[in-house]
Amino acid sequence: MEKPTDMSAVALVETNAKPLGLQLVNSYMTNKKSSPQDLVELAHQVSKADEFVRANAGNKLSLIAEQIKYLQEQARKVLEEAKKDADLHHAACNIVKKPGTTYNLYKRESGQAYLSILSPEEWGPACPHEYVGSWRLEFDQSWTPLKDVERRDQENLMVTKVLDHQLALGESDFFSGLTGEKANVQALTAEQKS
Amino acid sequence: MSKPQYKVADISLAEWGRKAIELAENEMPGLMMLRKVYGPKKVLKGARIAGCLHMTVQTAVLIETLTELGAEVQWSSCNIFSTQDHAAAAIAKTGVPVYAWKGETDEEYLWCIDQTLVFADGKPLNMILDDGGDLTNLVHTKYPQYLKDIRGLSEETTTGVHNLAKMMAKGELKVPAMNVNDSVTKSKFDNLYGCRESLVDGIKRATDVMLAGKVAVVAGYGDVGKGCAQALRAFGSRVIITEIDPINALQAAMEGYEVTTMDHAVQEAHIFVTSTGCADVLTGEHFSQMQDDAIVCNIGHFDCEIQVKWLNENCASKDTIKPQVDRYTMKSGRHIILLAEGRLVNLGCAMGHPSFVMSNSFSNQVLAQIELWTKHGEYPIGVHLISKKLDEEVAAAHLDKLGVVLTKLTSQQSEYLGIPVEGPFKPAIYRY
Repeated sequence: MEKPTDMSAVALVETNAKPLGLQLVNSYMTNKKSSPQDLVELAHQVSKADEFVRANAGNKLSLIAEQIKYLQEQARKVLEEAKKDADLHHAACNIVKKPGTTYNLYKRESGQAYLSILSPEEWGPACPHEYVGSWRLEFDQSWTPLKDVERRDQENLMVTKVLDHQLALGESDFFSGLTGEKANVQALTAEQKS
Repeated sequence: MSKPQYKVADISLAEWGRKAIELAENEMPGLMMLRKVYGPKKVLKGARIAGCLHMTVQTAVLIETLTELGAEVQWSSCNIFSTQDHAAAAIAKTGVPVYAWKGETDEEYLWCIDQTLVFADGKPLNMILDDGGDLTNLVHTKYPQYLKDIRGLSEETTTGVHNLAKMMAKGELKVPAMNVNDSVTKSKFDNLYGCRESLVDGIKRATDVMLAGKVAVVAGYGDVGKGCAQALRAFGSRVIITEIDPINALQAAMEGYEVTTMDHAVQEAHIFVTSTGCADVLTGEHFSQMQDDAIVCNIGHFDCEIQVKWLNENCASKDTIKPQVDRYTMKSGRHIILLAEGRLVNLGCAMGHPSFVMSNSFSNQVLAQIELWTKHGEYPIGVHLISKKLDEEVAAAHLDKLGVVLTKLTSQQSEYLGIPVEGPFKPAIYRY
């Protein structure tokens, strides 16, 4: 931020030689700065205030900017995942894909990528095509990379537990169950501990 | 790593598969009879059978017959699309190593066959049960070291039998082979009676067309054509036959069918069925003359009987009404409905052969395996037909279920005819 060093940059309130209709005897004397320091002080104050305002605005803006960046990142991730999911769904495949099954992606010499239920381990050294990776098809038609399957299972387990708990509450308690999050969380943590 | 215990699409389908298998068992009396007769004796004990044949519900009943007879069995499918995943799952669940799923790639197909060669104890196969010859070829070319212990192979189909004859001529065949395909109870039943039921099933499922009153052309009056013509006539269609062989043409005429050429019949007919085994039976020339919404399908083994390529190239547009049913709009404005893309209509649009008729074929397979295994050394290397006696045994095994009561020859009658009371009843040349 550039500091306003020029004293004239300090905006003082306009002078009035006849305030409220009364003619001042000597407006110059009345308005004369007692010390040149005063102006500097003022200027500093203004400039400091400026900095604070800017800083404050900056803080707020940067928060928003961060959020935008985060959202953009999220959006990019969603789009990328959607594209990956779509790509995997569109890879050549002779079988009807079934959620819960792990599929392995291979690439033929022709460049064609295809999904197979045979893993590279099952193929062994005889594997005829380049192995690209393995994913599990989820029930929402998304794909989980093999290395993340365990984490995803944990998440699913949590969801299942919450759902089971909701169901256990019975139909009449359903709506109160929805808002009674505390009870759920307690139940969950208790279960996890045990 | 060691091979997986089994590889199927979805093991959770096993329960459903089991129900389907139980249902099929009741429709496969031949196999069940063989279980009753040979099961307690465990005649196949010691046999390690590698099988390569469509992994369907009917095949599941075959596999369980073989295991009940004491054999160890490992299975793969002989077609990348023909596996019924629930049947495969049910078999895998019983502990029989099966490597088959609907929609294999060609490479996976060979991987599957490969897995069936060496058994759990590390010993290789000593029997082959094949359909189409791929397993036979694989062992002969890639694993010749196993051949010395293989007592024999049985082959299910025409293609495979041709392959065996070729191998034999070149001196490449190294084990005794049984031609199951040409048993009377196989080819005369599955071609004729199988197609007689499944052709119309396919046409009906695909189009729901009324057959009564329609004119249908059946090209080719072999076993398949005979079955098709009979079925169409039974529904009230007026059937026209085309033939190149004067004997078959005369047969058709004697049955009361009009026999003429496709060129003559083409404008008159509403439904076209090809069952010749020949190429280019229905051509562009024919398509241009057909009536609006003529139904065209093939039930011969190969897909070259109908010039589908011509249709694709010369139509104004093509509409897929549902899988396996395409409606072409011709430039003339007329339409042609093609079923199963010119491939086997009973497989593409229906469920193929019913269990009962497969019981005939598979009973032949089981008897062929028993012959080759128990009479090791009696069959020289070569392609053998199943004996008339066994052929008759297969038929006999199906009679009870149908409530058929067989008449027995008295010893005097037997003497008069010169035929043993227990058969065989016909000489090899008899045509049935």
